[in-house]
Amino acid sequence: MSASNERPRDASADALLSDDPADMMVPGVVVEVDAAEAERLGAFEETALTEAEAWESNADLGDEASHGN
Amino acid sequence: MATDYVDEVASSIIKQLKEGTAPWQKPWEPGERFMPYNPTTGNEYRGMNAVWLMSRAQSRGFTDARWMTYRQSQEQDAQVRKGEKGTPIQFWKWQGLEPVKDASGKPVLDQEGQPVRQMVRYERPRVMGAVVFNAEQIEGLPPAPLRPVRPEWERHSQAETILTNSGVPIRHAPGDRAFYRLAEDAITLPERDQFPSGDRYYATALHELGHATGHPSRLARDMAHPFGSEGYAREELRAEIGSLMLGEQLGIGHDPGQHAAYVASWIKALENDPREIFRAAADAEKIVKLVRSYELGREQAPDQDQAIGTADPSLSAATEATQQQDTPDEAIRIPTMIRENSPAMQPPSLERTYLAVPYAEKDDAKQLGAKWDRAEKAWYVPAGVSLESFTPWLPAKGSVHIAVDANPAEQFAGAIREAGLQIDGTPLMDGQLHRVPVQGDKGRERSGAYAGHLDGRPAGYIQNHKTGMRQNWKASGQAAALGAQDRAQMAAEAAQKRHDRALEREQEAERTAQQVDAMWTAATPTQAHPYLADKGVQAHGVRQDEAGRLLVPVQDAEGRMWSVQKIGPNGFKQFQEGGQLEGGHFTIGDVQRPGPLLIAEGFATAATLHELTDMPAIAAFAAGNLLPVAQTYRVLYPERDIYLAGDDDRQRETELDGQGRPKVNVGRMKAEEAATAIGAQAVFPSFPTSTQGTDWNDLAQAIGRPQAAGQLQQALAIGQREQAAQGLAAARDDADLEHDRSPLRSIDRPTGRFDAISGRERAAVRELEHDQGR
Repeated sequence: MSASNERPRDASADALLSDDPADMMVPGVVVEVDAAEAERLGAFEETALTEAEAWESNADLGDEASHGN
Repeated sequence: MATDYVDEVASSIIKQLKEGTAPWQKPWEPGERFMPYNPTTGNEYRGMNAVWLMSRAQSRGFTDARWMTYRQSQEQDAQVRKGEKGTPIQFWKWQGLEPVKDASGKPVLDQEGQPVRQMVRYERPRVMGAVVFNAEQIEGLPPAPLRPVRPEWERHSQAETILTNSGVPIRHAPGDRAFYRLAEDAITLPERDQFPSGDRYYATALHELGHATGHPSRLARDMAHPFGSEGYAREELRAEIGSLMLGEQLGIGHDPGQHAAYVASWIKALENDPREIFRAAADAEKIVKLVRSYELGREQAPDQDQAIGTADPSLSAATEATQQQDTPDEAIRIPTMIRENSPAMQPPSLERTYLAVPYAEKDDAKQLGAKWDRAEKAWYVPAGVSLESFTPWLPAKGSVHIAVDANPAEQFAGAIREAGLQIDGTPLMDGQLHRVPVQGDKGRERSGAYAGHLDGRPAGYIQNHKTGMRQNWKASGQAAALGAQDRAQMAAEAAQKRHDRALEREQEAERTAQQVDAMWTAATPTQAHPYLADKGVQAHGVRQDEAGRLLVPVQDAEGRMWSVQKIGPNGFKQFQEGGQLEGGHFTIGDVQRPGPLLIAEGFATAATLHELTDMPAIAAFAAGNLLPVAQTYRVLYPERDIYLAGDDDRQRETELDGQGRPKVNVGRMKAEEAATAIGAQAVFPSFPTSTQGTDWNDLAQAIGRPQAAGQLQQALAIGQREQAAQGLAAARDDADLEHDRSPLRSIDRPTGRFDAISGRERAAVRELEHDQGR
């Protein structure tokens, strides 16, 4: 257990930040891409759920490989 | 895995294109709710997420347009069914909270010593994966709420306003051709009375207006391609997805039109570059945004509403944004985050002035003449172009720009000092453990330790023996591709989260089971209750609580009680909260006794079935629970005749659901599904004309017990003959396969408490049933 002080922060502040689009669907990872790459990937702003809700749900990524649920 | 994801999404769409079932290839009725939305926020999904979720709904057979996360379903007291797989979607972030740095690059702390964070817009947007489940994968959600269908005149007047304000001329000409001509920037349509309905007319007109948004004076899409070319097909794809989205938003539905000419090109385009469908969906979003902005009045310059830099999609933002651009108000602008090593931070050269352009404003910058430097991955103003209109993006002027601290050693030093360790200068990040003094150490005491490394993704470990604090630290703001170890660790953490969540759920189920045990013990056996009298059935061992409610146990096949159904004197039914319901049921009669077994939805129906036939009958409590219960008993009794005595929700077919579609006869559908899955027969009551009712209890009350018994016996006899005709052996061999293929059970469920029990345990079931006096 690491010591942590609860502080208001970005929902995904604890994410590992990657610069490789290949890491896009890895749980716990946020990928930073440049503007040209974002355009190639059809970036859009999602408003159907909040960032916190999206972040929380990423534990379900890669569920195929586990028997946890 | 992004490539995996992009590929998976694209190949699913390609498959549907070949079948003619891609979301925009199908017609959707006016007023029908077909675009996926999130019931918690009430908002529709956007861009590729919307297209992907529609595609998934099609391939999985979901008709409900609601998609939500696991946690969101829990917050509505609903539960994702065990074993259901979610659908991964993308979540793009164009802004976020980032720590504020002072002039020397140190984090600014608040009064409590915590880093101050500020909303910034990203020059480089960020994306993460999220997972949502369809409402049909979730147990316990209320039906989709009704959305009033707006009257025809209102939809049409809205569409008319859009067409008029767009300023694009429309000519009407007899014939069957509708098209937009780029050279003339004009739309040609057949005469209005040639369309089967007003909705169809406006759907077609708005589709052509979608093409018109590509004009150089508007969104300036790549349009100059001859009919039949691949470029033309790509444009058609954008317009068609845009039409689909607009059709939902304006309530005029979607008419897929003639696609045969494009399908082959679409497939080719997606096969060449799977990201093409993602770009098309993003362009479709822009088309919709611009078209909807025409409702406001005068023609808008493209994408000005993005300049406000918030995620607010509301149309009123567009006007504010316009004002904001006319009189730049730097106090309102959210700062743009750029890297310390960004070229925009360097003194401008004679040839190029680099800009700090938030992703949300890139189209504006581009339109004003900014160019993209592919090597530096940054926007710049070429020499000879006045900088005046680029002021908001010049880092020297404008609002505060935050550059992320690029030095992980300094970050680590800060974390070490925050933990009370005393170090001089920067820490040694050589992977070795270093012992250092902490605040309060005397003499040569060294109660602190740290270890850190700079290679790959800088990270470290800090320990203060005096305070007992241990901390894993990792560099923030450092973007680097994940190594195999990172990926494995992330996968393990996600698996742990799911495990904890499953455990939490089991613990809650266990707590509820204990509560209902106590309720059951405190309740009294009953013979007379208003509900029993109303339904004309006996008690069959159910009890009554102090509040006068009937308690019907919800048990597994071993007889363990996991919840109770509480039925008020007025017939109001409620399950004990938090209980495990899937596969839970209540048996009436001796299931051990040889002979047919009947499975029904409700308690009163099961009671009626047993009383009419003396056969054992099982109440599964809900249509959606018929299948797991049927599967449990099929495994227990592979050779037995089992009948699903379903409800016939026939009146539902004449009503519309919350999404504007005829309601599904859920009772009949679920009973038939369960029967097919286990190689059994479904039997339904047949009501005389103008008689209300759905189940066998209703029938017995409507036509009298002797006649209902006759009808039931006859239905069972027919069922038995059909079963024989189908060939018992074959049907049973298939049952296992069907189990796996069933849409409700696409994935093997882990062995749960309601799963089939072994022969050894059957004796225990019998004993328990004797205990319960049945």
